[in-house]
Amino acid sequence: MPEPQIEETSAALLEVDDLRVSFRTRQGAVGAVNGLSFSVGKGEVLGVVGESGSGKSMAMYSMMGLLADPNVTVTGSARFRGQELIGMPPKRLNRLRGNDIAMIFQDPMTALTPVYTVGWQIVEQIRTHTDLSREDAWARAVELLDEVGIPDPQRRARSYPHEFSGGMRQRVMIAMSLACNPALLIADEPTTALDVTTQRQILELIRKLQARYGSSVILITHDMGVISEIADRVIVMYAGRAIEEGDRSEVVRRPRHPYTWGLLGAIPRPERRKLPLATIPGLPPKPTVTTVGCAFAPRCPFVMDKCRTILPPLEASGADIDHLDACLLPGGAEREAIRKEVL
Amino acid sequence: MSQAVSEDSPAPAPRSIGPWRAGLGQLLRNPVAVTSFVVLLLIVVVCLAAPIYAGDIAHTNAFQSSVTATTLIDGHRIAVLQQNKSGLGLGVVPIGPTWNFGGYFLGADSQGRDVFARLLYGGRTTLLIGFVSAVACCVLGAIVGLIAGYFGGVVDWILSRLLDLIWAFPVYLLAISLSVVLLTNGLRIGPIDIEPDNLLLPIMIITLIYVPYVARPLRGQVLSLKGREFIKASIGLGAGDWRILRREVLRNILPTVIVFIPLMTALNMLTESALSFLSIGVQPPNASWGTIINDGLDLLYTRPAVALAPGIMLVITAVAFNLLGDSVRDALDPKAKLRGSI
Amino acid sequence: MILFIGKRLGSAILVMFAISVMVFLIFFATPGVDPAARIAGRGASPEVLAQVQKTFGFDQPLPVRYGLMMDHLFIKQDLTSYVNVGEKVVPQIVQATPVTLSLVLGAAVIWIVLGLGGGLLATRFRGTFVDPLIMIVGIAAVSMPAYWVGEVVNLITQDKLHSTVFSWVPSLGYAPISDPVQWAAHLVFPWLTLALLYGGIYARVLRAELVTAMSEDYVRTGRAKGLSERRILWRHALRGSLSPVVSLFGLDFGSLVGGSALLTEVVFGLPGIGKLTWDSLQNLDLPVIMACVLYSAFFVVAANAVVDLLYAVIDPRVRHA
Repeated sequence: MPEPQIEETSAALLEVDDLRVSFRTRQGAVGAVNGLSFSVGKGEVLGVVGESGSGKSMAMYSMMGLLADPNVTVTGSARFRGQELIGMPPKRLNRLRGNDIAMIFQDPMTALTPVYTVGWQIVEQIRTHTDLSREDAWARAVELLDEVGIPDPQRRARSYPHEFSGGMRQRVMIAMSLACNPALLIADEPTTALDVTTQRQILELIRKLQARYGSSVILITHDMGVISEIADRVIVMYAGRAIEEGDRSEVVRRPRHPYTWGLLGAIPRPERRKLPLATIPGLPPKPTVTTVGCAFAPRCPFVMDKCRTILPPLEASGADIDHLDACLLPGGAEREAIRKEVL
Repeated sequence: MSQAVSEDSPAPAPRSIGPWRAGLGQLLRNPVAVTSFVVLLLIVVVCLAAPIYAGDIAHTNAFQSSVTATTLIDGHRIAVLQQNKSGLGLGVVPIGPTWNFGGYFLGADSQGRDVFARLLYGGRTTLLIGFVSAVACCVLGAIVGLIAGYFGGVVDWILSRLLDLIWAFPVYLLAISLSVVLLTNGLRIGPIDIEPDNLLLPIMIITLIYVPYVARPLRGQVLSLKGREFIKASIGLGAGDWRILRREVLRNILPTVIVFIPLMTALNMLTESALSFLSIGVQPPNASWGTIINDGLDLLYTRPAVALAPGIMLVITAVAFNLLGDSVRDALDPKAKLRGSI
Repeated sequence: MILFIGKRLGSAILVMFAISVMVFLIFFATPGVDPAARIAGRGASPEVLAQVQKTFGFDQPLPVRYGLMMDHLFIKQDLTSYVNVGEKVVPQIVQATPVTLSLVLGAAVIWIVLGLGGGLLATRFRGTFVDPLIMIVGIAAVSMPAYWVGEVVNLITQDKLHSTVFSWVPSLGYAPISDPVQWAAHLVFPWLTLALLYGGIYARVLRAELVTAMSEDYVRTGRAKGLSERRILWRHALRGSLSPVVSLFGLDFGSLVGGSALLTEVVFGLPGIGKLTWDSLQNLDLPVIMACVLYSAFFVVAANAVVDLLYAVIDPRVRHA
């Protein structure tokens, strides 16, 4: 987008600034999210990618007030339509949750209450936020189930969660999340627990419904493949920080951070099948260890001495000013040349 | 979220401690466990000293009715059974607590016997029956659970149905049925000849009725172990059944078995005392805390100490065993779901 | 669901049959015991012995004897006691039943209320003093002999404080429900004795279940849906946590009818089935003991079946298992 950044964020639906989440443990405070800033525009699909433990889910849960643990401290700011979410009293938060902001979770097996029919659970969602009568809400629930592609929705609404397959249950979750036409849908690894063919169907369903309802979507995943199918914009997270951010095509085609190179290298590609699968050596840092400098330095093949002392800022280093990365390697075409050697 | 990060640290663990050592260490740091253990140790030692107390300190025979016995209070010799002064003055009332360890510390029962001495002897019996039957339950339960769970098929079906049957049979009713038949004539099968007053009878009865409590969860555990990779790997490597049972399965269910012992001891002690209270447990001349509470039933309003003291001992001991059991479970097998302790 | 009911009732009948066989074998086929002499009672005359031999068919094979016993117990219901000569056994049991039911059902209501209340409170106020308190009561509950607690209660209400606080407590015994006030006054302490202990256990079980449930994914879904914490606790977490409590209730109800209730009845002088069993134990009246054991065992099995059906109503997953 050609406009200067300041105007773009003011039009944003959700604006997150310097979000920090830390846990109090026996070993002292542990940072799960260390200053995350991003924004989501109206109707935009934002993909957040990172290994497990990179803090991507924590960031979302903290915004939504889902970290009820007294040992958790959340600071920073997350404004939804200008309303501050961090520290919002539960009553007001409950009016937003499920109504304006909906969430779907990784494991559809356990995310639904086992002892109620799926129809009951969707009706509960609708009636919490609207004045619809029981009958109207039920009719709407059946309609939603139909919309997410559940066959024979009239009858299936009376079934219990355990009577559905994993993919079907995730469809039920999506139906429930869309029940109140939310402006923002946060999908936390929605396809991870599903098999490959079902994954594709669910992703297509999310994209289709996103187009129809015009909702914004934050899609959290550890799978670059999922991101490249559906996201408009991508944030790559590592150790609680964003280390690369930009348009999907930019990040996928011309990634600039060595960690993203590793992530993309870890996707099997037909044209490279003769080569062994690339992996990133080593493991993400323990959150208990406070690192000075770049958190990826211990695993980075291009590590320099200064990487261990200087924390690289997230900034544009190439031609596209919207494509940001946090790396001390030389920018511009020089970076591109290094990338071509490895990816 | 920290799981994926901390789970597999690349550096080798600095010092590896076995699960048993780790569990023991955790127990020793747990004040509840240590206190319970010390209390139990104290009770055991005091109860074991019963003959010393009766013979050398109180100079009394705790099992012989002695209606003419006397004791010294403030230098006066007083009969332990005194003419009832209240009401119509009929019958005799045993003396109350003298609070003097020299004799009749807790008073006498209606047969003039020293309640404190009987309390110590009774503790020996109750603890013995509770502990031995608990160990027997665990050994038997482990064997049945292992065989049923590991071999499956017809063996499992038969054993499981048997366990179900005992399980479905209300505990006390089964115990009453067995006791009423066994305790009047004793048990005679071929060369086995157990007299009715033998403590083996209550031990056997209690063991039998509680075997399913141990065997059923263990069977389930063995079943799930059988489906796990390392057992499958052993089978695939051609290890024999007994080797797998001994080396892999037993080793994995042993923590649960150990956890059961203190919990079952508490449960079995309470069952023993209830049966003895109903006069179908420990038979005279033996005494247990249950029989003493029974003795005290008639003296409840005149000499409450006779019924109160053994009850208090019972509660303290059972609480200590249950707390110890809970702590052992937390240390060795935190996921175990055991009924009776919860 | 109908299939499930059929299956469950079928298995209950099978268990009853197996239990009756087991009781029969214990009483009539234990090696080294002469059942005829045992039934006739101590010092019975040869004529009585001969009559016992005939009634129970001791000259016939075991299956026939089993049939005869069942016939006397459940069909003809003419089993007689030989210790209290001529006394019919079954009417005694029928007469004692309302006493036991009054005791157990009343106690069950109180302990369920205490258990649910305690469990919910402890979850709501997790981390405060309520928590350890309930844990202590729970541990004490599994460690206390009910009959002894009953004695202590009697000592206080009938003796030590009877002239002051507890002057309204009637003397030990039972009053029929036709006079509800007297009925309740006679039963209130037996009820509390049973219920306080069991209530503690239930509160502890429910708390553990609720705490687990509150960390389940579906609770997170509920929060994300914008439900209030209260609705999540009551409608979602509690509903799922009730299943284990209900199945525990089935077990305890059984053990209560066949055990603790017996001891409580003895201590409080309530003439229920437990007291009847105890009295016949004192004079070794075998026919009565046998009848009490079988009738109570059947009742327990039936109660467990009912509880399982209730379980299936609460938790739909069970129906398909």
